[in-house]
Amino acid sequence: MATAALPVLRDTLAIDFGACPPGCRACAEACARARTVGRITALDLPEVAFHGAVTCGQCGEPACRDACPTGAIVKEDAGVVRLSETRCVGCGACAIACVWGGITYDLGRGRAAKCDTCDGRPACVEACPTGTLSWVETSSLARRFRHPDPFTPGVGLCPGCAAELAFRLTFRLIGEDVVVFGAPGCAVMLVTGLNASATTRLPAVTGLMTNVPSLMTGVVRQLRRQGRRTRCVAFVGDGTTADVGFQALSGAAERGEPVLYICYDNEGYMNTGVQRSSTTQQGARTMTTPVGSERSGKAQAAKDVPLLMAFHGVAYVATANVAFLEDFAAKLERALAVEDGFAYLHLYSPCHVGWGAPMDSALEIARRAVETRVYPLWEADHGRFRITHPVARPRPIDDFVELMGRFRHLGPAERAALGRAADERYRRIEALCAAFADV
Amino acid sequence: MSAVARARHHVIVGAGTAGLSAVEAIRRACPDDAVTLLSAEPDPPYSPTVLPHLLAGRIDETRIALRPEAFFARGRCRLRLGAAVTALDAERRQVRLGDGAALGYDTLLLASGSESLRPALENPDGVELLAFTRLGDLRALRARLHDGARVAVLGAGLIGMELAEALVHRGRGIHVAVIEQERQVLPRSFDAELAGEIAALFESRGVALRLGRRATALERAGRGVALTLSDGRREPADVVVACVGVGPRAGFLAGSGLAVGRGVLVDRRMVTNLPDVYAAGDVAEGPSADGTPGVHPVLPTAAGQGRVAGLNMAGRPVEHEGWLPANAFNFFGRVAVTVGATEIRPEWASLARTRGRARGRLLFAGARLVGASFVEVPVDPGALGWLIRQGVPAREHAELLLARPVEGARWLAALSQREVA
Repeated sequence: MATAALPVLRDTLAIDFGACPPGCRACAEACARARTVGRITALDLPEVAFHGAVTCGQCGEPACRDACPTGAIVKEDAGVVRLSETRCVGCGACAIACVWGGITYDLGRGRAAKCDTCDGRPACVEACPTGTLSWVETSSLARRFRHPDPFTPGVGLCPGCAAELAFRLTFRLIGEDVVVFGAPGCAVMLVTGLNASATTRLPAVTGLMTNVPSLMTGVVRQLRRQGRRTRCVAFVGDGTTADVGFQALSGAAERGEPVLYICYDNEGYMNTGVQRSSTTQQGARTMTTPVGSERSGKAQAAKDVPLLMAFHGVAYVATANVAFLEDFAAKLERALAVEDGFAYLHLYSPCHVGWGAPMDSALEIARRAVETRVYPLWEADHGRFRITHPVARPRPIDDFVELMGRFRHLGPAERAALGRAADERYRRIEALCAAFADV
Repeated sequence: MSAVARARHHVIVGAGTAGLSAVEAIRRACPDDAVTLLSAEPDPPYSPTVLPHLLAGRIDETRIALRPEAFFARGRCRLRLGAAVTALDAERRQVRLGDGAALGYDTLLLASGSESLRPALENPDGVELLAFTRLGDLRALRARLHDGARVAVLGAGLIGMELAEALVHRGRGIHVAVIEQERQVLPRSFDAELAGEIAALFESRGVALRLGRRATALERAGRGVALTLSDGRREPADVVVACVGVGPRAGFLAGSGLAVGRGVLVDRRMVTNLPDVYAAGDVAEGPSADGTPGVHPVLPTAAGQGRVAGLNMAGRPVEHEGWLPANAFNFFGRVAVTVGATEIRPEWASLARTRGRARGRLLFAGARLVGASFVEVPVDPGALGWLIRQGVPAREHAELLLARPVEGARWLAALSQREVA
């Protein structure tokens, strides 16, 4: 197995061109004060009504490094592409190689200069009066998803599957002291593999769609009897959760079994050919909710399973989404902090195949589901409701609907109705937050 | 069948910029694969670009290693110094080394760089002719440089002019004469006007320029030597350094079946005519940005070609964007930068701006920028190169590009990069 430690970009400078005001060179001036030579270029161009800034993006495979004849440019493990100015001979090869405006050639000294992020405290960001520049910390994610990848090579899911990504990240955070529970569904191939070939490196059990929480109950109680705190984690779909196995789930939640139950919700029975489930969105076309002269997709509204679970009075319930990883990781951690009660995570996981969308679209669909209020991100921690990603100004519902073939038949009125339903869903959670903020 | 691909053995001939970029690419794409890097040089990998800087004393030999030692210890990469390759046997998929041993490969990259060309002149006394492309050349030159030495440099190309500048910078009463058969210095880099300014700059620093003449003979004369020039004049000297050009170091490939033109012929994936044999850097003759093939022995090209070769060797089909002429020169603190075409064609438009010593010139083919050169002006050659390669319609912003080259080019590049992304 390869163990080469590859450089990973941890934290990064973000530049929002749209917010930059005219006549301001605060970033370049602050940079020049802090570092003697400006390494960020303020693009203050009133001639063409453009205002912004450009600096090094700390490339993963920096062309400047490859072109440098003295080894003066190094991609450090922490992510920074660093220039040693005592090794630089001022040949300019780096500035020719970089097409992104990441290198400054200082005529006065005949040397190159480039951004080193002020080692994580960039002076330009502090000086920026408008928030055009910001410092985005992603290093916390790298620390959280610190365990090895749980898969052996050759995962048998569709390319572009969001559930695969979610499963991978879930167990990179939880680690290996775990028993994973699956049920028939797409993810059974993640949990126990196909035929004789296992996919996870983790101990895994596949139950029936009807009995996963009951199976977990038996295993976790026996483990506890042996004095072991090994985690029992279910990773199952919405058919098992919302329809076929809901009785067993409701029972285990009511009993407060100390397990973590994760439902990856792709809104249907996808591995058997895209049939509707009770979490399928209203209006969506599936094989069992066709579009024709008699019907126009699913007639009923989606069952709000996470809300039902919250009203079981369990220790922790949250909705999560693979397009919002910081939020997802924080919720996994809070769910794991529940040692002696039931924790439930409802994970939005677009199925691009079943939803009629391109292979690379799952994360964009997931992101827009949140931004249009279709899928609010919230948690109920011991009964305290909180929206974890407020959406003050939702995007128009069309931004979400247009990404998928399953809504193509909807007219403007039906789309507007979907938008209103999304808004109601969001405001219902808001109301719960107001009512149960400090239970 | 195993689900995991077998780890392969990649052999790279030459540990310069192209070879090392290939190592970086292979390592990222296939970290389990083994790489053997063969260098004919006794020294840890360096770039010949540093030679004038070493001679001038701007940097010392402890600061020129292209990669730290730890780089070669990391992963499955083996660096073998002093390992010259003498032959390629593509049928058996192996190279032969100077000690007679054979080394097998799954993929092979030829990145052996360039070597100095020998000038055509009569040399009946067998006078020593130095070169200036390797560390060994530099050491030989240093050993022969005494205070007040007269150095004759044959050739006013980039290497010759950088050598002359370094010798002036070094001082100690050294006299430098540069002999060039063209009527201008840096004939392939600058137009005649700019070259004239650069020539005047060198002459003001005491460099004697003998333009429009070439050396035809070399012989001993007293304690020194004397060159006979094509106009009949004689040029006395103590040391003669030939900088008449470089050519691909490809002699060892003779008889291998490899197709060689001006360099080893490659396509956009850096593939040669032999199976699993690639070439990159100074030794390769590959497509330029407009598709015409050529040898382009310049650092960013070597880095880019090496990376593309490495990715293809690792099984990822990637194409090189083609090389684009681009150079930055720093002579006596005056900086000149050229990107794209340097010579104007009749159907092109030329727009220029001069402010004291600062000057810029842009060449346009219709709305498209095709060439840019600037002297004593801060510029971003990478951003200009992007505009030229992408054919960004920049003509309407020519005034902005001339007045504020860095901001103008970065703005235009950023706009089109957003579209591309």
